[in-house]
Amino acid sequence: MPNPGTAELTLQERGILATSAYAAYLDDFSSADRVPVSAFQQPVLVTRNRQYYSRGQTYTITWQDFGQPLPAWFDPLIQGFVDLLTLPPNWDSYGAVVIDPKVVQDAMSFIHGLLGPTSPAPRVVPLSDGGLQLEWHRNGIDLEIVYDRDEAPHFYYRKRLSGEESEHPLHENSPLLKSIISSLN
Amino acid sequence: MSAPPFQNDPSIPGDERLFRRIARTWINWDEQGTPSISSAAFRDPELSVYLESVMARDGREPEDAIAGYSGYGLAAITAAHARSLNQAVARDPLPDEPAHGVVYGQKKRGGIGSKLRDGAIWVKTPAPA
Amino acid sequence: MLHGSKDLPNFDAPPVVETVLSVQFEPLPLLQTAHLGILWNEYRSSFPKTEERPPLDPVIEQFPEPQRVRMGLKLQAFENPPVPRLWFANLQGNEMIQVQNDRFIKNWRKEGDGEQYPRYEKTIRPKFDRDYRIFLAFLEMNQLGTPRVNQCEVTYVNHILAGEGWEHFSELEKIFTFWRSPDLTPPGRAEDLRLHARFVIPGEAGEPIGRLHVDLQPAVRITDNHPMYVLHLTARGQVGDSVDFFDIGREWIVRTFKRLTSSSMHTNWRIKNDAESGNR
Repeated sequence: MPNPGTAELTLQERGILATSAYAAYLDDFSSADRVPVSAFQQPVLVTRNRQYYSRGQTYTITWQDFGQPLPAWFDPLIQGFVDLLTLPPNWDSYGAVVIDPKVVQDAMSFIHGLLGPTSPAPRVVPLSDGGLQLEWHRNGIDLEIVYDRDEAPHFYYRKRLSGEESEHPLHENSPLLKSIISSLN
Repeated sequence: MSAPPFQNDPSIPGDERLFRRIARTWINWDEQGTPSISSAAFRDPELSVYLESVMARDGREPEDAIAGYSGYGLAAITAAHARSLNQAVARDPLPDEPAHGVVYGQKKRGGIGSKLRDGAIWVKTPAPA
Repeated sequence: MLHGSKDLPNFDAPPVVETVLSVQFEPLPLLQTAHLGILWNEYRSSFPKTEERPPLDPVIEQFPEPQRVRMGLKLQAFENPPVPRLWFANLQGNEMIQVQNDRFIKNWRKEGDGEQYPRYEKTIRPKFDRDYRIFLAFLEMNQLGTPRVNQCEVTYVNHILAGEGWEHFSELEKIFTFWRSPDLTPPGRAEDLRLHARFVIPGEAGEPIGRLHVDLQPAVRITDNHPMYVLHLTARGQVGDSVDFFDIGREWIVRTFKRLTSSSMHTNWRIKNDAESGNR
């Protein structure tokens, strides 16, 4: 006789994105017949798409969230990434290579998890070696997150007034980076 | 240990202006339409530049460095400024560009690219987008 | 472990309102939106209504499960917009086919409270096989590739209506076998219950082949605010390279449904016998 096996009892908590195993159900008919009760609405992940255009090419970005409004930084940031992907060889007139799509994907995934709803959008700037950097220059602060191609990413931070500056490997210093970004508001 | 590919040339004076073409993708315009340059424009370890004195010797205006490069701007740093950031400034004439030079040295760490950028001035400002 | 056994629980009036069979395969890059429009012709006489929807993301049960990470952004370059998901629905609105370039899905819906629900072995599975064969033949005829199935999914949605063995959301013990309210206050009797449980489905050699997701939440019917518990069971997994998982998933759903619900509710739903025989 089949055994239900190990029951992994879980509760979905608002704001925590789940694994792909919690994909949206397919009951397109009956879901239209009912509405959940109780104040705690189980958040449902939705898959979203958005298109961006650059230099005659179309890029589609897909992601999952709970259908909330997009933050103000979202469109300028993604458009910035797409604009990098469509740069031709020698885009800097000094023999620059095209931007590495993997670097773009890595940077995009990282920054998406870093920025808060009201964070200012960084500028997305290409590097001649095929990497990119994300930079902010606000409130007397220069912050650059640098993805040199084939090197571990790092960030550089400087207070223009005092000249205080520092440089840190990226992934090991996310809390510091988050606090710097929040000071840019 | 092999010698670095470019050695500092003391015959290039400190006040020599070194011109650098600035691609539009390296330029940010603020709300007032004022362009600023990203440090990304100054990160190449072998940074290509034009030596003003060589261009002047050949009767060329600085803007000649961006002739045929629509939308580009032209910025200048001084040799002294580059050397203050541990960069070598060298001549590197090319068959089709006798004014070509190189600012050679590590720029990826220590904010060198940012500091080179800080010393840059516009020679020819690009038109806003 | 019995897979495909015939002695499954059988109800004359189960609370099921929708059943879904879904087969997912590696994307067929040659299958474009225009082809889906032509495909509709194969079904149009029975499914004359069509709608366009965004495509569903692929889902695969993984073992072990990767550490939960935030679903990141995925950037894809398309010369044309992504191929959408097309619905083909019948006039009554109780049967639907959904197609995208990596999925084929069939939905059945029970019409009205008094209608008989189509049975899995007599109606649901044979009709899925028929319509899926049409899809496969279309792909072959137009040289669009052969699907490499990587996941199957079976879903049963139940609307357990108040007034049929229970009245208030708090009367959980009348409906379900797995809940017992605490005797003392606090916390006392639960006002209602939301639950999501997952069970690993093992294969014949004991290896994990899928998961059963059980989701329970209180709801009301939109038309008349009638209270209900929605009991949603989805079995998702894969064996072999075809759709054999459907029978396994359906068996898990049916048996689990019986074991999670009370015998008094079984009586309301007119269980044929208690020896887990027959067909649901």
